[in-house]
Amino acid sequence: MEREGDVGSKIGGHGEQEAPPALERRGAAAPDDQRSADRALVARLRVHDEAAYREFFLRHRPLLLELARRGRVRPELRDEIAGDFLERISMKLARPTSVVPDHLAAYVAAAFTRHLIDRARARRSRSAALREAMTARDSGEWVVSSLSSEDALRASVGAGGRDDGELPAALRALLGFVESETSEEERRLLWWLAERVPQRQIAEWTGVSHGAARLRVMRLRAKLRQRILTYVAGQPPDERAAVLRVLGRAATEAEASSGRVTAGRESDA
Amino acid sequence: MREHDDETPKARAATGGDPHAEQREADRLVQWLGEHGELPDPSDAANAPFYDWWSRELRAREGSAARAESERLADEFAARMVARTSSGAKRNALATVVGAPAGRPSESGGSMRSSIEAAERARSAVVLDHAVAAGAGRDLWDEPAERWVELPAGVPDGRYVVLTVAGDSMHPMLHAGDSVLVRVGPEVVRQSIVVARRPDDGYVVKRVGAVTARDVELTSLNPAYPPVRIPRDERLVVGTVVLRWCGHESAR
Repeated sequence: MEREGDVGSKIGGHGEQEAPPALERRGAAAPDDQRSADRALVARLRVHDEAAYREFFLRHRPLLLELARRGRVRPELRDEIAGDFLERISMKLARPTSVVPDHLAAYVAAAFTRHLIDRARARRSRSAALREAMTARDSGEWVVSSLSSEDALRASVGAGGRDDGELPAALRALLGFVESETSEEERRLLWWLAERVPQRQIAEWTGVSHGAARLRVMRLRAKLRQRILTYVAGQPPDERAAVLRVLGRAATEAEASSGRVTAGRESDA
Repeated sequence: MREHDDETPKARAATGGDPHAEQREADRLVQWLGEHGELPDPSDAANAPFYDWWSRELRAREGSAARAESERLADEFAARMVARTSSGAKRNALATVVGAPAGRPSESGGSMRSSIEAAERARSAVVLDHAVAAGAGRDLWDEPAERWVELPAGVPDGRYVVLTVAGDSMHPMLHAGDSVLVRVGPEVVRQSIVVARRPDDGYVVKRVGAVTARDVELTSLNPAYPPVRIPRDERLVVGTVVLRWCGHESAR
């Protein structure tokens, strides 16, 4: 880049002494071409380029729909929520004074995750107000209507905090167990495996050779399986059945366990 | 994860010691944890490369029907956003003349300071060619003015200078090598494009951001460059950009 300060009649950006801010973060630098593409996209949003808005939408819609699904947002609401959010976030990024994130996808995902949390919190609050109104003396339908958005009314007949309900207790306990038995790095690795990140990519992100990454993955999978099988052995039969179904053992041990539980309860009665 | 004792006999019996079955179980387990476990925190910089990758991957995994739906919604989204920001788009529009300004010899000798009034009477702008550029810290107004450019049709009478853009901080509105017509004057209006002098750092072309009693924020369109501030001093503002000459492909 030319230095504008060198020539009085040549004007432009900052001189080299004011180069773009340092972008490197601990071990998490994106490839330069990705970063350049992100920055170019934001620059085009800032001049309200229609094609840039289109690209921004196409690039992030699948991610937001997946995050909404993982956040157990009802399927019929996901597109609307994601679309509204993309409008807001693209308007924000298009402001010349907004800070441009180092990693656009992570930035959008973080903001959307916060948005989903806020939304869930608001829904819980509205649902609580709705329940209160419905059980209060002298409350009529007008009270309920005045307190409820369409969304809250739907929520009042569905599950509590999440649109799609919660996991059974046995499986929530399994998640807790895995969390207690794994480090943050291991959980990150498990997540990558679940999303089918190629091992070469894992090696690049973790800064090890392909062979070392492969070995690490293999060991983690084996250890995890063993830990969970041992965990299962110490669980009551019905919970054991639920966990074993996760492993695909429904036809064998799980069913046998369920049968024993049913028989036991009948005999108790 | 801690080292652990061997698999229980019952667990091993369930797979019959078949390593493939064990692999399948591990696969199921990993998939289930990915589906139901907590998402990696996207605000943690360590997870950022994954989200970059995942975003691309999810887009690539869309089936043809989902892709067609995305394309349709994207068209609607883009049209809606442009409609919403139409006032902003107009604000960003800068009159453009394709090609380079056609200069002619100055009809008045001396520095730009003395030439500019003569150029105004001839409906022309004084060109500061980079071949005669001053070094950092020199005053623009003391530069010699050897060429004039006739004001394009539609440009109101007034005092103008023509300057050449360097750098990429105003991309995509301005490109390196573009020439800009600057109406000389100290006014700073929010969102306008101005040429200003940064004390000790030469002249810059920037969009005006926040204006306070004490200083003026100058922002770049290229997000790689952070906003800068200059003291609110009339002597530091050359003027407002009203037109550009651009030979860039996008101007055609």
